[in-house]
Amino acid sequence: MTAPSRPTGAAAGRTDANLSAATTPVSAAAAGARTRSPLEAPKPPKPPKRRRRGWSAWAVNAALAVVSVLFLLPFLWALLTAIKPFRDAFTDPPTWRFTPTRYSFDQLYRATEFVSVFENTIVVGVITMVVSVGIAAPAAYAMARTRLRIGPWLLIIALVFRALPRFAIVLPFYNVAQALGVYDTKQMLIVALVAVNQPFTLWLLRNFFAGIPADIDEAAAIDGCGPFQAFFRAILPLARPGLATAGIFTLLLAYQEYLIPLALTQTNTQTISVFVTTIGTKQNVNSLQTLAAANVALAIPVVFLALFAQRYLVSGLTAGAVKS
Amino acid sequence: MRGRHFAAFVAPSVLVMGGLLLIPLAYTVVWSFQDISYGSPGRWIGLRNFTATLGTSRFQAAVGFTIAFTAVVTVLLIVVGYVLALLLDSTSRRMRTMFLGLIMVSYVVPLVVGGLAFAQLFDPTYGGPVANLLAYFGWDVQWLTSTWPARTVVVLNTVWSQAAFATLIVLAGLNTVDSAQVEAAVVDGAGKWDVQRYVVIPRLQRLFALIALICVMDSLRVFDQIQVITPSSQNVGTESIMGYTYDVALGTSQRLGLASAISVMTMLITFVVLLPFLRSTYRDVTAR
Repeated sequence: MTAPSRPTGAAAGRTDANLSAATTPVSAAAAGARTRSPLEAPKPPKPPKRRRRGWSAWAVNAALAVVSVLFLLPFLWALLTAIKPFRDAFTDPPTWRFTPTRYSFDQLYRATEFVSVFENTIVVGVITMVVSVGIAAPAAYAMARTRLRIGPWLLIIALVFRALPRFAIVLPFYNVAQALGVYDTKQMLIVALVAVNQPFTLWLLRNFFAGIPADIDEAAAIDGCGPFQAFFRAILPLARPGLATAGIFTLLLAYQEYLIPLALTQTNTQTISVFVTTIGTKQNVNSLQTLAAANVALAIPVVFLALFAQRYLVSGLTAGAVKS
Repeated sequence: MRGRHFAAFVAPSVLVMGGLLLIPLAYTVVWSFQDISYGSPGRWIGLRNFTATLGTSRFQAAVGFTIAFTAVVTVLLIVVGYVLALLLDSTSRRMRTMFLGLIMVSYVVPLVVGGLAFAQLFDPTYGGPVANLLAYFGWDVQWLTSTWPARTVVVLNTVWSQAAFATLIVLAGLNTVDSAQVEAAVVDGAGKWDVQRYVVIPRLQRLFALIALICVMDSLRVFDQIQVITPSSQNVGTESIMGYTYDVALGTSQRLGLASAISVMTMLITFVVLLPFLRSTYRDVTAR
């Protein structure tokens, strides 16, 4: 520490009190933690220092760039495989000079069911999302507010359900679906997806509702709202970011699911995961290029989602991780 | 909130969990004691499904592989998440958003899509660049069909696909590290590593446990990526419990009772492994 003079705590507190009017509460708190000489001329507050010393920004960014390329390598390679002419696609060493071709993508869109399967996946995913959030939201709110002992128990049960091996649920579904003749229907698939994913939606939402102060409920009650009105009029509008996060995650889980559509569908309501594996395991070389095209076509929307809806993904993944 | 209102709010969710999860679960437990196939009534055979399963070396291999897989993936995931989070924490906000977005792609695509794209890199038959590069350095290996290489690929793929999630959780934890505490440690003469070891890591311990909880839950039922990376997992030595269950239930044999018994045993294993996590979660939830 090379500061010429250490201020007393009171002096530092006073300086920061003057500054805090101009700063956000967060940076004011961070500034308060730092020591500042009272003799210094008052300077505009610096943003709180986040960078770790000793690592230059350049080295960190270079390392992160390498990591990012490594993480994207499978998709970058798939893109190369898809746009190469057939004779250049699988050579060793790889061919770097080639005339790009759209053939694999044309193949994917025209000769396979890719487009209709993708549409079906989205439709199934969106319905699953709406139903799951609709069912889980009131329950999550009640669990965040109740002092009854059953509240935490229901949450633990929801967590245990999240960990269940899929087959313990899916095989009974499969058996019933066969018996009732609803095997390979959209409805059956959605029912199964809601059943399996709703506990997770509940768990996510519960953390968001717990973050909304109970004063809001009380204020609504004083204004004459019953608990249902308070929930719909006062709480739900405030919970919109949480609902969006839970919605995106439920949609994502439905979109990614492999085992359930594998067990419960055949051709009518195939989803993207099952479709991709049917191309992938054909094990003829031509289909490998179509597969590469499919992988690229599925990764591109995801890149945009990860860049522009990142806030929701981040808040969903870290919900409940850090207590505020 | 009064009991009556609580009941009304939770009713839809509880009904769905009861009707669509508990009842199927009850069927699975009942079937595990029966000799039964799809669409026909079963015959009670006591514990024979269990004894038959426990006696097969294939089941033992699947359990052993799944548990080892879970342990390795969990440890690697925490390490990778911690390192990536430290890197992301030391860059500017805009760079962080961009790099996070790129790292998240592997997490957001379906596991089977990621698995297929990942496996291509290691397929020496079809010009997989990583396989060929390693072969160039004298490491000529059939990555997808020999036991240990294939296991390595499956583990790497899983860590690759889950890294973003672990990173984000650690990153959120790093934001809660008190900068005053870090500076105090530096004033006291702590080096960079000391700060990590004695200030940051203790602060992150709860989050490492959370990552472990989720990773253990997901790894114990690993299925998707193994099916696509090593389609004949039984011969390669990468068969997971779920892969085995699938083969018994819907694959080569269609033995509902036997598959149900495996599911029941999987649940027991999962429950035992999760018990400490569940207890701490219960304490967390009731403390708030």
